[in-house]
Amino acid sequence: MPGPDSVYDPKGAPKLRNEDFRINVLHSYNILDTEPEARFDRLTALAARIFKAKASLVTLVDSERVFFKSNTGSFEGCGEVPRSTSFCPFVTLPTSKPCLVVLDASKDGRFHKNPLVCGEPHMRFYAGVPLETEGGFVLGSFCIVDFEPRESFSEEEQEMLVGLAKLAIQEIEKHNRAAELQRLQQKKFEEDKRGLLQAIDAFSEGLVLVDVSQKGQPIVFVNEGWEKITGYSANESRGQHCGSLLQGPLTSLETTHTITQACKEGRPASVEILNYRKDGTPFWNWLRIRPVEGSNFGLSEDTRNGQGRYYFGILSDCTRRKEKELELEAIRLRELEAEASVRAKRSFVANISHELRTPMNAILACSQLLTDMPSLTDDQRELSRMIQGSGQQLLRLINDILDFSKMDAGKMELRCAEFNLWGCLDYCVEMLAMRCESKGLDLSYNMDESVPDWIWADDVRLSQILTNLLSNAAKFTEEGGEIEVSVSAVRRSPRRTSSDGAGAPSSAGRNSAPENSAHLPEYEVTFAVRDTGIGIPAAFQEVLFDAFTQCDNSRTKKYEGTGLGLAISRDLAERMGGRMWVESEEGKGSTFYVSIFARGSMRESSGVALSPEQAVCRAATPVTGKRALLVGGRNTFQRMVGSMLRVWGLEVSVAASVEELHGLLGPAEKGRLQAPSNGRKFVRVDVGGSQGKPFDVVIVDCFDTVKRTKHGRKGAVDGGANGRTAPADLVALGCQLAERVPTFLLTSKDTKSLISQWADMENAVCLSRSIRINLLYATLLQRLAHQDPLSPLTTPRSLLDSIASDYAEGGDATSLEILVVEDNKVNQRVLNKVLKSLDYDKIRTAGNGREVLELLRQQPADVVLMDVQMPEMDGLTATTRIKADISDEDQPMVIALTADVGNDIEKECREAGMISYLSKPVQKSKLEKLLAKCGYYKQHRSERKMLKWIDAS
Amino acid sequence: MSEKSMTPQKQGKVDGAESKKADVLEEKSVEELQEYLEEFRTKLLDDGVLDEQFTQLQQLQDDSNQDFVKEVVDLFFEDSTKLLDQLSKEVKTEPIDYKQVDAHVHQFKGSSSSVGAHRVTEVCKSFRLCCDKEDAPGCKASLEKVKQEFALFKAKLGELLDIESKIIEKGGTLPMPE
Repeated sequence: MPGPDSVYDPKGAPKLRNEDFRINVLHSYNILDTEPEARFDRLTALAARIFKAKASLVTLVDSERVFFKSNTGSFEGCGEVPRSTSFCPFVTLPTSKPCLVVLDASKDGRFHKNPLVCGEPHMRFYAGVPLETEGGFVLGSFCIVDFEPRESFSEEEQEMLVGLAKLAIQEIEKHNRAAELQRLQQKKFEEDKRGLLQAIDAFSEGLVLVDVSQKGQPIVFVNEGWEKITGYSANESRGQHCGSLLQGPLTSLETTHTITQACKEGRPASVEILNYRKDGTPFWNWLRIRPVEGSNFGLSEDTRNGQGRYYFGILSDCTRRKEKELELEAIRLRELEAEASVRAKRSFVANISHELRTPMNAILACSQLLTDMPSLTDDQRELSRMIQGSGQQLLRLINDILDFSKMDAGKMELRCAEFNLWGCLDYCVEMLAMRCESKGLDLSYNMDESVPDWIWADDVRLSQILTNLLSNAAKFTEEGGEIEVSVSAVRRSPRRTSSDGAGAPSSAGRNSAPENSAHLPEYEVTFAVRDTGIGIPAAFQEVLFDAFTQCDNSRTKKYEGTGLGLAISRDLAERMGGRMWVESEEGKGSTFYVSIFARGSMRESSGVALSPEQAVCRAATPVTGKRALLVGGRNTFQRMVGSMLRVWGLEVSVAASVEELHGLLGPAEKGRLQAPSNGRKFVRVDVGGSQGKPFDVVIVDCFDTVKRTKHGRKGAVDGGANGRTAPADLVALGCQLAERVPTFLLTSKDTKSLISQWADMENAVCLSRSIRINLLYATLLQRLAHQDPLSPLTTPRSLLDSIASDYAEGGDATSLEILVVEDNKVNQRVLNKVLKSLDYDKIRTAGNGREVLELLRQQPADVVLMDVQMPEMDGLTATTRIKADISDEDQPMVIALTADVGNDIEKECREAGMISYLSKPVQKSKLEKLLAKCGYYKQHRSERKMLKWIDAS
Repeated sequence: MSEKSMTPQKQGKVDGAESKKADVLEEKSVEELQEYLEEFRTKLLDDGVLDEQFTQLQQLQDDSNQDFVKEVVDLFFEDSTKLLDQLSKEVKTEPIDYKQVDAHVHQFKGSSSSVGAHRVTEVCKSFRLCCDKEDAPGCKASLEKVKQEFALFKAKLGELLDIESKIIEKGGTLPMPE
């Protein structure tokens, strides 16, 4: 049986040609050097028992050794033997037999010198079946060993051993697949982890993994980002509690609570939290946390066997953004605070000014009454005037503040009406005249011929601007200085076409003139107020119009004032479509310019277009029908004086030249007038007038004549060729009239001496050319109506007021039929009672807007007191309906009752066609006055038609 | 003021303090009562419980209509109780109809200002601001305030009228408010 290969070789079994490959395959099974396994041991134990063998093994034949994967029996404890001594390598050799059987090794040439055969354990019997893989490689053998030689190993026995070997190789193959799978998985996992770690470290954000299932919630992993952001190294961080590492004194407890709560509830969270680095510097951390159940991604050793509850945290240093946000927030807060405080101040100022005005008005009214008392001594009157003066000054200040706060709140509104520009200007000059006189200032004004006599604008606001400028001029001009107001006008093409009612942006700010002025041309009227005062430094001119400024503090001390006047004036001017600017030279004086846009007309002041007020004035004056002679150049000044005299009801004749004067005086007197020659020469004149009716008053304008003489302008004395300036001889003649007739000489301060050569100063009244119409009027009254010259000068305005109120009271008011519309029963009751207490007894009551219409249809009423806010139909709607539904003759005067006050509601009421409004709760005194006026209008139906609005406040 | 008109006022609050107060009034002479009335009225005006509108109301009362103040005030109470009831319901409904609430508060404000219940009027104003902002908690709080101020006004006015009727009862005349 032993062939050539049956010769003993101490190196053991010969090697196959592809032995290296087989070894590789074996290694790939990863079964070498693994622990014994029951599945193989069960097979070997079975084989040992079946074949009654001393040992049974699963062996794997490596290049230099034979590894025992399973070893049952006598060799237990032995893991491997050198390949040279083992029988098994022979099993790996190709053979046709399924099994290598050695019945007695001591007699087998291949093995008889084998140390395991010659020596211990004296192996004799060996039967081994190759463990052949599916790929046909033999890894080792399944073998049994005995120490006694055997007679035989039958076919059946061999087959049985082959069967067992097959089971073994199957187990090996199975082991190999599982191992392969695991290996591949491990490999992938390792790669993933490497990638993940790289990614994690490349991440600029900090990452932290915390095990929240453990006490103290230790950090189990951090990345490089964490180290960079927090300053703590991975080693320092691991095992620590995140919060105790990062949180510090200024960390918001609320935010930490949010985090803790989220962890407890297993929710993700995102917060911005103030954290501290290792070096103690604080930083804002945008922290996002998210729970990771049962896995730590292999980022740390899993000591919890998959039982841990982990939280993943991402940290971003958002300090910059946060600081910017906080900064913005702080700014916003500051702004809000400032705004709130500004608002509070505004409303405070508005309220307080309003409150102040009420008692101030009372003080003024009382002091006025006091001043008017005839029994007063001069001293007392003087004192009472001082009270009035100071009171007025205080009121001006209060009004300034009130205006400013209104302006500031955008609540300033203009009211447009047609008025006489002369009157307005004069009123303003009048206001300042006393002050200028006492300070020895020469105050004059003149108007270009181009200026329209009548304009549509807000006269109250315009006077406010001019008064402000004049009072500034007076304030800042030293004694002996001059103040001059000049008015000029340029016609402007209308800024909007008639079809374009919406108007250009420039017209949006100002009050649009009412419809009936639309046909009039539009003018840019410019007022220049020139003074010879201290002037304004160039640098200061820019801020001059800002609120609360005066030139400097030292001046503020010297010159009282709020510093609001100019700011208000400019705002007003801009609202009137114009602007305001200043030209000034320090030490020489300033000129303030104001321009406004207004529609205007040049009506001849013949008294045709008198307003009701003026009509009242004329009717009331004791100078009506008197004849006046105006002597002087044909200029605007003369035009103005003439127009005013006519307004007052005088008949006016004008003499602009010697010839005209002669003509007016009649031929009889002509010859008796002589031009002045050297020295004083008086010529008696019978001032009869051509119609034989004597003149009652002569007014001579000496101003330009003398002034120009003084300034050495040739030609002026002889009369300007244009006829605007009175020739000296005319003036001289005019002056002579003073002997016979009350004569007013309009002069300037420095011309008095010259005039005195010509005029009998005893008889003449010298008035400054800065003539105030009102003063002229008052003097006229004194001279012509022989009123007590000491009695206080009544200005036409206050005169008008008193006349107007006389009229108002004269109406049979109590016959008014009144309809009260009020949904509130309590208010109804009270209002009824108030009306009854005022002796109105024709009162009906309606509970809402619908009812009032019904009641009015049944029987008309004179006055409707209309609650604005009512259910069903509000007062405004009801009024609109009344206007539409009720016939003209039966239209009532609707007065709004409202709890809301302010410009808006007034506007709404006006638009709805109401004539006035009263704020609720209704004050008896106001209601009384308003109803008295209504009574007047009831009596005067024609005026009623003109009635637009009564200001009840 | 007649005895009859006083009765319902007293029934509402028969507690020790009240009867004690009545006793105190009983003991005073007409002059003392008149002085007390002036003082009390001034205090109410100073505290802002009343304002000059109430004075106007009192001035309107004359011989032809001796119960005028009482009438108006009773009307006010009646009106207000209804309004407050409505408001209580409205403020509880979800969602609140702010327009409706505002309309009612406006009414309440109107009538309270007419009788010169100054503080009631003031809280009504802030109530309306809450309506404006649709601020439900604010509205609820405001309503409570209004109720409080209303109760205060009612109590104080009751007291005032008590003093007045006591003066009449004792044959005195009421000092006219200035």
